[in-house]
Amino acid sequence: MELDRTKLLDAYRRMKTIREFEERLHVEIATGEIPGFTHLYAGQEAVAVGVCAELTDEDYIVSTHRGHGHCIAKGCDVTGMMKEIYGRRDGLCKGKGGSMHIADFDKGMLGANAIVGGGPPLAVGAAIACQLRRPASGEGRVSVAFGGDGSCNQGTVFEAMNLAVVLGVPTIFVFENNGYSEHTGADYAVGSKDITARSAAFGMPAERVDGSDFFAVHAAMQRAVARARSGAGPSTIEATTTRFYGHFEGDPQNYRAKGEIERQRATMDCLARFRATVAADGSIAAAELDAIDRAVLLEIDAAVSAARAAPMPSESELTTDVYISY
Amino acid sequence: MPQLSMRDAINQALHQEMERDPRVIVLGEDVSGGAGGTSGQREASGGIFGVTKGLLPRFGAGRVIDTPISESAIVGAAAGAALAGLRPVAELMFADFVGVCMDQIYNQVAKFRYMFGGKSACPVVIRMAMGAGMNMGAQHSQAIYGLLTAIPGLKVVVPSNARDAKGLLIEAIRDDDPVVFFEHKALYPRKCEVPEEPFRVRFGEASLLREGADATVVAIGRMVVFAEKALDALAKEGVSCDLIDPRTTSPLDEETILESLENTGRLVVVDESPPRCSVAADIAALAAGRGFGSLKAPVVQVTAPHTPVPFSPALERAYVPGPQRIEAAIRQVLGRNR
Amino acid sequence: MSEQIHAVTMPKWGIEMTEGTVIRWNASAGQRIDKGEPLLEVETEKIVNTVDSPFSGTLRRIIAESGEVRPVGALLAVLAEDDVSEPTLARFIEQFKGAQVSFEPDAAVGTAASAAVHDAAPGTEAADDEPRVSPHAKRLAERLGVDLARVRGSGRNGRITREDVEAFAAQSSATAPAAVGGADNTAVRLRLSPTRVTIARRLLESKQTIPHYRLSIEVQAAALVQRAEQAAREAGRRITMNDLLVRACALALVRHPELNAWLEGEEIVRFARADVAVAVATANGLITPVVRGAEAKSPAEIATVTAELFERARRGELTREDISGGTFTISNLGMFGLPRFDAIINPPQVAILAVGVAEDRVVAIEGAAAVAKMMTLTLSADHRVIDGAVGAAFLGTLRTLIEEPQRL
Repeated sequence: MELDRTKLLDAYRRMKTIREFEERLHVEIATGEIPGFTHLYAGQEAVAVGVCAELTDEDYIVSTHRGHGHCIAKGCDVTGMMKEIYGRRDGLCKGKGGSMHIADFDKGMLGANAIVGGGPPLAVGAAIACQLRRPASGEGRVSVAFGGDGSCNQGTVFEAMNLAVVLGVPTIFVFENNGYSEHTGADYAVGSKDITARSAAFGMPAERVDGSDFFAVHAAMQRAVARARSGAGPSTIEATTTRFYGHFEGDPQNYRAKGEIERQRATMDCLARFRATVAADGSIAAAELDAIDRAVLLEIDAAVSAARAAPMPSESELTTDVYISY
Repeated sequence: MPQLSMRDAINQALHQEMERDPRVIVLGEDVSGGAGGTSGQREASGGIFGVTKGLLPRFGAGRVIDTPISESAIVGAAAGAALAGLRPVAELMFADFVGVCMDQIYNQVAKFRYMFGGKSACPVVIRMAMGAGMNMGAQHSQAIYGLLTAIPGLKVVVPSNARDAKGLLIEAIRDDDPVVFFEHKALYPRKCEVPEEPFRVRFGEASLLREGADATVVAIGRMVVFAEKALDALAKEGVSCDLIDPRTTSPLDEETILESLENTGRLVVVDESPPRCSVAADIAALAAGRGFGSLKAPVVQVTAPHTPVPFSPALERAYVPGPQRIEAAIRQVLGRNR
Repeated sequence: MSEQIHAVTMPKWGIEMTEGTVIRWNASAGQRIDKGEPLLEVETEKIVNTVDSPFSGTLRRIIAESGEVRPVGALLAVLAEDDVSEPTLARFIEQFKGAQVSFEPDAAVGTAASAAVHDAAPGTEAADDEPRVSPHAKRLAERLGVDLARVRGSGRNGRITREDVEAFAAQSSATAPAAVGGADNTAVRLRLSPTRVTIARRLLESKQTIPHYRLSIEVQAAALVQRAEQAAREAGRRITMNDLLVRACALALVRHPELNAWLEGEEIVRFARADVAVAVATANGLITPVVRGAEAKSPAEIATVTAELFERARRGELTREDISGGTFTISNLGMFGLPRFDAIINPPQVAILAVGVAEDRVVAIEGAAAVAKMMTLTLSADHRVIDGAVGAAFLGTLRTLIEEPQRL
């Protein structure tokens, strides 16, 4: 299925929003004003957006410590996210979660997760719920488990993949292989060096795509989501990609070759590749995309200003939200 | 005597023990880092907090093992290697990740010796960074030593300064039982005098950091630093207290606490964990039982609230028991509340 | 216009970073800088890294020179267009407030100290061959001059506890006195025994913290002497005046429960039973064994208990149980012929009775001088909880019981 112009423009806007959100955070974090431990998604935008373009608010995703991109792709409010990252009272999680724990249940975003491999079992559970509520005829809802190459070595992930196959539930496992589990290369940490083959061995269709090509990711997602919605069970997508920044902000990245990031920014920039593709087929004029770029910058500026001006939580909120009732 | 940070003191202990005993190995995520990287630089990391720096170049990849992100396998493999005669030091990076590998810790490691009728030894050390105060959110900030203190078969170490950290880690590595070793993230850069040569600090022996007649203050880990600040403030009013750092929560030095309580009759316990079933509650129970005859006032516990660790600095500051709360608690136990 | 002025601040790289050192500036003041150009190098505990200029503009001021350490968020330099005036620039610098990073829980939001790197108090640690000993036991041993190598530990793994040191010191009784040389006098220096250390501590605490007041009363003792003799005949054993005084006090205490009490913090603990402690001098010092439930014991029973307690006290065999839990104390120095004295309260008790000798004194009886056997009783009471009238009433009851001792 071809994407119409509106959807294409929307996809570009979301990728650009993620990029500028993260680029701006990179600058703001260095000022010391943003607390904690932040993992930037810049470079991987085509994966989150290519996958989420096929999802509605009724579908579920679980995310990772590197979750800003998934949130924006799934439709979370950018200002609410920014406030959360600044630890403000009216952030998406009232300042209690922070960068690694953004969730928005209205958007089917079941939460970022700071435990590597913590999310995929939750996605299988969400898919069980989708399966139970599947309409008698027509398409059902699905869940997506985002994870990095590092997560594929966790026992919880193995267990989740096997369970999804056993139950035939509509989960799509998306492994964003950016080449590094923290400060260690995926080529070392993934023994077989092949996440796709490993996933297939669990008994589900699995394919590897170029994660900096929005169109390739989207096409793979269309195949996986069609299977899932029709009741044919889980799939895996391994998207090879890169992160333009360190594991976390402040990571000196001594494990990466000099010039690697510059080279990847030149050759693996999903935004540039998107522009090249639409320019080649003439579907969207560059000026339209330029207009989106300008609008996005303004939106991010506004989000940062709003976050900086927003109040901090009051001490009385420390002990609320632990339980619903107690 | 050289001044060392806790980070460097632990690093020195690891170097010295690996030098002394070829059975000692180190394994964990990014303990050297750089494996499979594109820079060709091995030891690109030396641990996320830099604690294991220099081990790989000195002892090689055979004994300094970078692992995938697989906490169950890290702890399980360390335990297996220990059963087979090595003395592994496993690193879990953040203590919160105990959640991923709890089975290996509490069903496997902790129980071997008892289940096997005393025939096995599992001399494994499991190191991890813990603690709130650095805005790292609910899954990277917990102080869970209380959870593991509750498990028979484990020894649990929580150092409060660089010198103790070195002596306790050396003891942990030489100890024949499994030891869980908690390093507070905020203590890593703190320096004090640390002897260059290897030395041991025995388990179950508290240090009495200050002496005073008015009350007994027991503090754990980073809370020792804050208790000292509180006592500095109170000293201006003529209040003096015994300050006890148990150093290990299992075994716990009950004698030192009870003997101090006999002198003072008043007890304040400071613990960074939430209050329920905590080390603070455990020590308060000790006072209410064996120390009952000494008590002149109800025991006061200063702990985190019964909540996860919040992210926002505004909330996290209120979460962590700080010097002001400790000072107020001491006033309360002395009946000096205004 | 402050929008045209840009602050270059100490960056925050990584979770632990709270400060950094400026290593080198790659540009000098007045130079034009483009956004993204390497501007300076900063060193942290972990790395040296380049700070790329976050903005374009002229490097108008360098605030932190090479070699200077600055906290995260501190102003390092100012970039601005050339048309920004010097006074505007100066005002910007003066008013600049950067982000402040602190991990101290009590730091108010937005105000903070810099890095939390200063001395921690070092712990004590033991070499392998040092005896295992608790800190308090070690202090006590130092004070008593006990050689820890000779003490057997009863704690975990044979660790020496304070009780072990106390027991050792008590056993080796008077520690060998050491001669001290004076020029023209000879003296010995004696260590306080553990018992004496305890006595000293408690008496000092009592004298310093309890507002004592004393009430004295003279009572006729002849009837009491006769009653003691009579009771001894009936029981066929020795019964002393002191035994009768224990019973008299016990009965009076039951009637005046305010005195049969402990003061603990801000609570008064009143007891139903009168457990009367009787001070007795031993070789090791003053000891106060307790006669429990003295109000319900006959003089003969009291005599049996006290005789046994005194004997064990002299042999140094009293247990902790024997000497703890008293609710009131009697101190009798009559045997030394002292007419009157006063005593220091034994906390947490709230009163103590000092008993002088029963002796013939000239007194006025019905308007005429007469000689009678008299005895002076002095009550020391804690004014925090016992007022004078209550103490006086107690002494009144006691006088009646002593002067009309049939009920004893």
